[in-house]
Amino acid sequence: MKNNLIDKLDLQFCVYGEMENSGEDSYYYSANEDKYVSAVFDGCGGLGAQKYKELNNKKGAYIASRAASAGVEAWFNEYCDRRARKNDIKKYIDMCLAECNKYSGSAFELKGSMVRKFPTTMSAVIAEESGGKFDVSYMWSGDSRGYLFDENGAHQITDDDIDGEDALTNLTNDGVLNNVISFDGNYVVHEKVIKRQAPFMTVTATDGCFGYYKTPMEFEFSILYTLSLAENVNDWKEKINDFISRFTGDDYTVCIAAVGFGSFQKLKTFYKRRMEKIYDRYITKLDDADDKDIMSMWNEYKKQYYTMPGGVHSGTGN
Amino acid sequence: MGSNYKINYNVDIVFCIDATGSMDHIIDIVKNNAMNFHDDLMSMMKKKQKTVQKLRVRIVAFKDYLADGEEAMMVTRFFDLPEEKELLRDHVNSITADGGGDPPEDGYEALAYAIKSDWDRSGQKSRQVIALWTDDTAHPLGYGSAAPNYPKGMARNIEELTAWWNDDSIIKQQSKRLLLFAPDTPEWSYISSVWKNCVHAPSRIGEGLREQDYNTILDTIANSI
Repeated sequence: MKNNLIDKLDLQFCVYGEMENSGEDSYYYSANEDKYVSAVFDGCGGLGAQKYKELNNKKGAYIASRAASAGVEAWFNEYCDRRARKNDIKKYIDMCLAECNKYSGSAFELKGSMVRKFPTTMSAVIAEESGGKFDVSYMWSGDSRGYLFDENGAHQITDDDIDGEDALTNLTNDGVLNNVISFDGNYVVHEKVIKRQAPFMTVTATDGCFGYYKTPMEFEFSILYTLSLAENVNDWKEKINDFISRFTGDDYTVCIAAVGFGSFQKLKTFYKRRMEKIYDRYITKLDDADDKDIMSMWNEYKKQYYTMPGGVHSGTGN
Repeated sequence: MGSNYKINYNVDIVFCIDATGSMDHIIDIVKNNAMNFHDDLMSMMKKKQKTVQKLRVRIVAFKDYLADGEEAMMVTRFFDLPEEKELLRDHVNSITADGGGDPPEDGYEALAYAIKSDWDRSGQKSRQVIALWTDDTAHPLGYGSAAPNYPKGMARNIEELTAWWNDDSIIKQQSKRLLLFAPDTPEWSYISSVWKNCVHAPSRIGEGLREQDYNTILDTIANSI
C-alpha cells in the first residue's frame, strides 16, 4: 500500500511562458512525503511599473513575483519542518519584499492609488495527506486562480479579488484588483480548505492562462483537451504551452498536480468523458454563439464550476 | 474552439500642460512629438499585447487667471489620431511657455476641464486618461474667480472636484486614469493619496520637469492603459 505522498503524486509540473519585454510571472512547486505546494505569481505591471536601477533596472512587478515566490519557498520549507505555521506565509513573503526594498534606492518614487511597491498576485495550493485523506488548502491574493479538478470537471476555489465580477464578466469588464501582495503589507492572504480523498487534480494559474478566452469553459477545455492528446507528461506540458500561447496576450503560468490516479494513462481515461462533454456542450457552439447564447451556456456551466467539492472551511488569512 | 479573442481599447487622453515660463522643456517634448505620438503609442501598446482601436487627444494648456487673463486657459476639443495629427500639432505649436505671475498656477481648473471632457464611452474597453504636467503647486479652486474670463460652473472647491472625479456620469469610473507629473506639495499629494486610479511622479518645484523624457512619459501612459 502506498502511504507516501510522493508515490501517490502522479505528476507535478509548471508551464511558463513570457511575452517579449515582460516576464512578470513566477512560480514555485515542491513535494515531499506528506505534502506538496504549487504556487503561481503574477507581478502587476500597471501598479508596479516603477523601475529600480539598483535592482538591474527591473520593474517592481518583475521583482515582486520573484520575491513572493522566494517567500513561499522559504515558508514551505519551514512549514514542512514544523518551524512555521500555515498562516505565517504572509510573514515570509513580507520578509522577502522587505529585503528587496533595502536595495531599491530611488529618490523620486511613483506615488498614488495606482502605484504599489512590488505588487504581485499569488495563488498557492498546499495538499497535505493525513490518514489517507487530503487537506487541500488554497491560499491567494489577487486574481490568479486555484482550481480543483474532480470527476465533475473544474471547480474554481479561489475568489477573484475584483469588485463585482464573476469569471465570465471578468473576461471583458475592467474590474480593478482590490487586494494584491505588496511591500506595504496592506493585503490579505485568503484561505479555503477542502478535505477530500484522491484522485484529484489541483491547478493554479495566472490570468494569462484563462483571461483571453470568450468563456471560462475554454480554460477547463484547454487543460483536458491537451491531456487527451498527450502521450506522456512532457508531451502534455508542451501541448498546454502551445495551446495557451495561441490565445493569450500576457505572461502565463500554470501549475498542475495530480494525485491518486495511478498512471498518466489512467489520468487521461478519467477525464476523457468530461472533456468530450465540455467540447460537445460548449466549445463547438462558441463560434456561432451570441451574447445571449454565451450567457445561457455560462449559467449552466457555472453551477458545477462554483460548486465546492467536498467540505470547505474558509477563512481570511493574515 | 472560441476564436482568438483580442480586446481592443478606445483611448482618450487629455494633456494638461502648465504653460508658464519654466515649462518650456515639457512643451517642447509635446511639440516635437505631436506628429508621431500616435505611432509611438501604438508601438508601445503592441509590445504590451494590447490593441488601441481608437485614440483621441485633447490639450488643456493652463497658466494663471489673475496674471494671464485671456491666455490663462487654452482648451481644445479631442483630435482623432492619426487622422487629425496636423491639427493637434498646430494647436500645440501655438503654446508658448511664459507668464504665470505668482508661483502657484491654476492647475485645479485645468483638471476640472479635463474631467468634464466629452469622453468616448463606446467600445469593449475604454480608457479615459488625464496626464497633467506642472512644476508648481496649485491655487485653491476659485482663487482666480475675479478674472472676467473665469469659467462659470467651475468646481467651487477640492471636495467638489473630487466628487466630479468619482462621478460615473462625468467620467467612467473603471476607465479613468490620472497621471500627475507634479511636485510633492500638499495640493497635489492630496489628490494622489485620495483620488482612485492615480499615478503621481513627484517632480522638483520650479525646475520645469527637466528630469522627464519622452520615452518615460510614453511608458507611463502606456502602463496606465
